[in-house]
Amino acid sequence: MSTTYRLGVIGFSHMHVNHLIDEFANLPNVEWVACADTTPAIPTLSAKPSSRKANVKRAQEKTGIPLVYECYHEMLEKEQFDIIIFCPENARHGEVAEAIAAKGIHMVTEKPMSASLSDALRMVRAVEANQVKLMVNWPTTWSPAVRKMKDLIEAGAIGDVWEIKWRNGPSMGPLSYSKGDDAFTPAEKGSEWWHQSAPGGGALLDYCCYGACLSRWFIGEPAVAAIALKANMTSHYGDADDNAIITVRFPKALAILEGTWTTWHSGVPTGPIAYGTLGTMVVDHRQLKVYTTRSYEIAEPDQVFDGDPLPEGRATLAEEFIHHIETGEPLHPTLDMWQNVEAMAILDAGIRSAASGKMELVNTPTWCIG
Amino acid sequence: MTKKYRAGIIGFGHMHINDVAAHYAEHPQVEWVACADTVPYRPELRSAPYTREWNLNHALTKLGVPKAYADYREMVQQEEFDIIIVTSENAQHADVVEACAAAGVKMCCVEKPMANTFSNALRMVRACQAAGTSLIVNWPLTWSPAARKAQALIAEGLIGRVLEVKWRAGHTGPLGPGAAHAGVSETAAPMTGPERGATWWHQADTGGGAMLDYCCYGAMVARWYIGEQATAAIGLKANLDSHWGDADDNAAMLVRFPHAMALFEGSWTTYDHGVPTGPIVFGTTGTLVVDRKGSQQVVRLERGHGQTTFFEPEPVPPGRGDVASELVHHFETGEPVHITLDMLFNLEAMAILDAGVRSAASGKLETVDNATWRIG
Repeated sequence: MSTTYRLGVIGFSHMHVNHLIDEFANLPNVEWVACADTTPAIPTLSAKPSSRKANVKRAQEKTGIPLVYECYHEMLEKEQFDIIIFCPENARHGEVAEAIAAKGIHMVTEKPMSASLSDALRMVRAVEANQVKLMVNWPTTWSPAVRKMKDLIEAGAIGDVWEIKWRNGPSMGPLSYSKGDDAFTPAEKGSEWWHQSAPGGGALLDYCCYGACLSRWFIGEPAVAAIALKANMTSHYGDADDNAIITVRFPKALAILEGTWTTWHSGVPTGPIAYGTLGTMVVDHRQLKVYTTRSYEIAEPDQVFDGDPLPEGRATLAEEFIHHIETGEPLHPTLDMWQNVEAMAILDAGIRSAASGKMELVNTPTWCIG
Repeated sequence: MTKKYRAGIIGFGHMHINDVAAHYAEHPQVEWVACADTVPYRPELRSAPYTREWNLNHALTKLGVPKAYADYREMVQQEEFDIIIVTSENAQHADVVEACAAAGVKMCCVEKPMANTFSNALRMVRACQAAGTSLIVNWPLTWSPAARKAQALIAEGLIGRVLEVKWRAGHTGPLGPGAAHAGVSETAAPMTGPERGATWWHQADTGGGAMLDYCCYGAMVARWYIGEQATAAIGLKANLDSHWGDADDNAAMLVRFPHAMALFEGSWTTYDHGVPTGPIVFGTTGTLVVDRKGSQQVVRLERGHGQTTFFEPEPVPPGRGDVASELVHHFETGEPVHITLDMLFNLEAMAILDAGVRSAASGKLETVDNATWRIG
């Protein structure tokens, strides 16, 4: 039996929407119904590749989504959907998820879960009240080397893990990838939500979130507190941070999560890196390197893994979500709503710490009021 | 042949020694070796019931302890001990336990609270682990059948998930007017303020004060009932009516657990609490109060709308009804001691108390530390 899933998209501000759409478009049993962008608080100045305007156009022209609505509320009133992909500005995940859930539609969003723990909990409440399913996608989940790292940690390959480090690979910012005539001017960059604080832009949310997700997963228990710093090094056309660091306290481990939009070349492998009592593991590009021999000399890793092929029928984010809907089996833990609440709680503590200048507690729903 | 356990006492600052030592004295398998007080930071002005000199004399004349050393370090070097009861002022617990562990004492039985700081509690754990010495912390509350009954009912799910634990404890002060401590028939003699101020109880640097003395019970019982470690605490210390000393005579702590909260109060200026003081446990489906019905301790369950149920606590298991019996039982059978006496459990309770102490100084919410996060 093959159900056909009616799909829609809300929000094109995060360019990962293109990948999410492509993965669902690869499935044989999807029917694209309609899409709508959210309305940005500040009008954008560009339609260059990766801009929200370009992303909408790509969905129409490449994917063939037949209808584009101006207002997503109107779209939800008029059309029928089974699944909606939503990639609006981080700060609007809560609002959009509430609207989708209210219509009884399952939903997939892209990392980070939201711009605050409060918003993440809004999403949880809406999802649970309407008995729909939510998946938060992470590109790192689909890395065989990263999955192998977790397997080896669980198997005790490096003893007890006492530190996780993660820094994103070289990045000059989310809008730095188009070249020549397509290159964004500083003013055009500043007009996109990425470089604005209010809609949830900035490197802390964009990149430290990966470290929050990975450290929570690898360490295997919730974090306790965080200290963080945000900086705007070279992106003064916007008010968001272009560099951020969060130091996280777990009960018996620590994590350092770095996000940067101004790094030309990383210089060293950026991880994730896991330090354990009996060894160290580094994800270096697509390989997992395991060091268990102590040496002061430059040494080759004791073991190198490419990782195992991703499970058949669950090898892409779209397959994983459909599998979850059809079988009721849990999502991969990194995609699970409640584990994402815990990752979001780390990020949220980092955001509050960067504002207060103090160590801030990682909250649970019990301690997140308002 | 019945083995005898060689017991001694270090520190007479804490008057709980009178009750604790009485249980040891009654136990047929305990034989006293010797005792020694610690040297107080400041000389005391008066020997009256419950002061350190009086407590020491009581042990020698009424409880059959054969001799007293002037220096506890000399005592642990010269004599062999299976058990040393540590009832010194709180700030000297770590020094005493280190000396005992280094001298090969098999077990230290420290009176609550474990120490005056989490750092000192960790010193005690390190010393004992290095030497193979056992460390337990004794709590009067452990021997309360009703407190145990409440924990058992909570664990059975009687009140659903625990949302809040409350505890208030207090009296007119350890040496206050009319104070009565277990183990002896005497009550506190009237003492002047300066005489009370000369005892360690009312001095901050010795580990005196109402927060350490009384909020500690709350830390222990909340950790026990909630079943997981706390996250952070806010504390407040006040010296409302004891200005002849620099310690707090009233304190309160608000404690944050991952999914629950707790409130502890300690007071040395309270003639009567006026209301039941608990522990009180608020759950998702009911409230439990460790309460009294006449002279009997009971656990009271309230479901709202006047639906009240009383639970009679079972007696503490025979042969394990007091600290001396429990420790002999542990030595003889190898069975673990009651959870509330356990060293690592107490390290967690001490970490909660320590966060309250730090918060009272900083004025901020302070995290509850563990060994990973306590440097120095």
